[in-house]
Amino acid sequence: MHYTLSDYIVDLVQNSVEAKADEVTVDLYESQDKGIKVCISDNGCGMDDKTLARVRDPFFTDGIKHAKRRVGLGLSFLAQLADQCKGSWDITSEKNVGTSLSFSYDSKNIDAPPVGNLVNALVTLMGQPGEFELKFNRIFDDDSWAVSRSEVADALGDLRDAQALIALRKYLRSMEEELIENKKLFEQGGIDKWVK
Amino acid sequence: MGKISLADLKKLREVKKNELSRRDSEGKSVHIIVGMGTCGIAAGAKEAFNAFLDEIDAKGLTDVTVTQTGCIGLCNVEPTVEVQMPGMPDIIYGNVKADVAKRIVNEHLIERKLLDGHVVDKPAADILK
Repeated sequence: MHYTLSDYIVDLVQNSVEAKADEVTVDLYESQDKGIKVCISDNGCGMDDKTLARVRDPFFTDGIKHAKRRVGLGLSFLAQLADQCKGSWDITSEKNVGTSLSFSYDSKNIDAPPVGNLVNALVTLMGQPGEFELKFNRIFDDDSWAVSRSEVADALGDLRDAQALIALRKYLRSMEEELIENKKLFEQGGIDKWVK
Repeated sequence: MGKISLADLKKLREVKKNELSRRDSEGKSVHIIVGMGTCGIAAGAKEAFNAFLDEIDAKGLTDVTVTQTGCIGLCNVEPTVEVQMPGMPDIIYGNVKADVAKRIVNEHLIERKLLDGHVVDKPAADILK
């Protein structure tokens, strides 16, 4: 099990990048009443129906990344998350077209993972090697912000550079801070309490 | 702090770029490579990655890259971090929690000293170019 929602998102976006997607879109919907819903879609290599039927099995993996490994836990963790906090999840995929994944859960459930440090998760995802576009949309009730890897790469240049990553972190943090402030969440602890 | 716009971000970056171009950067690049496989993340690689950015920011270092890689097979001493810089041997550090990441910036990068007790390996021959 991953500890925070941000860790799930990092893991799943990595799956998309490893499936040779050059465009990954992540929508994170959060609502004070309705809980959390995440949709991730990519234009990677996709899966045929036979493979798709087996991805829920923790003892199934395609064997490409780790030739000798016999487990694939990513989606099994997701299934467990949905199961334990009154949620649901779904995956659709088409070979050579791409994969779409969505999951939702009740964020007030005692077993629901905290959102975690979304800003750092995005910084690490955007700083990953390779050419791919990552579009991230954060929607919280009627507030939202969005970021794409191409626009920040355009503004910052090489995203491996530490100073570029520091500027990116500042940028994302400013947007998340404003959203959290608008929602008057965790008034006493501020963003630090919220993201940890 | 107010919300930063994309245009502000660009400006911020230009200032940094100008600072950078004033320096003689030839052959001075420092590369920090953080192991962010599942084992690394479980051991605290995310916090270490963040601590590297914090300390590089605090010390105002430019010409440093911070990149990520997968598991390099030293899961017992994760988080692992490789540091490459001119004039120093390539070193793989182990057990790099956030406080050790801070020390790497100050001792290895700035004072040019190896950290006692955290040197795990030189990179294996097959991952040296």
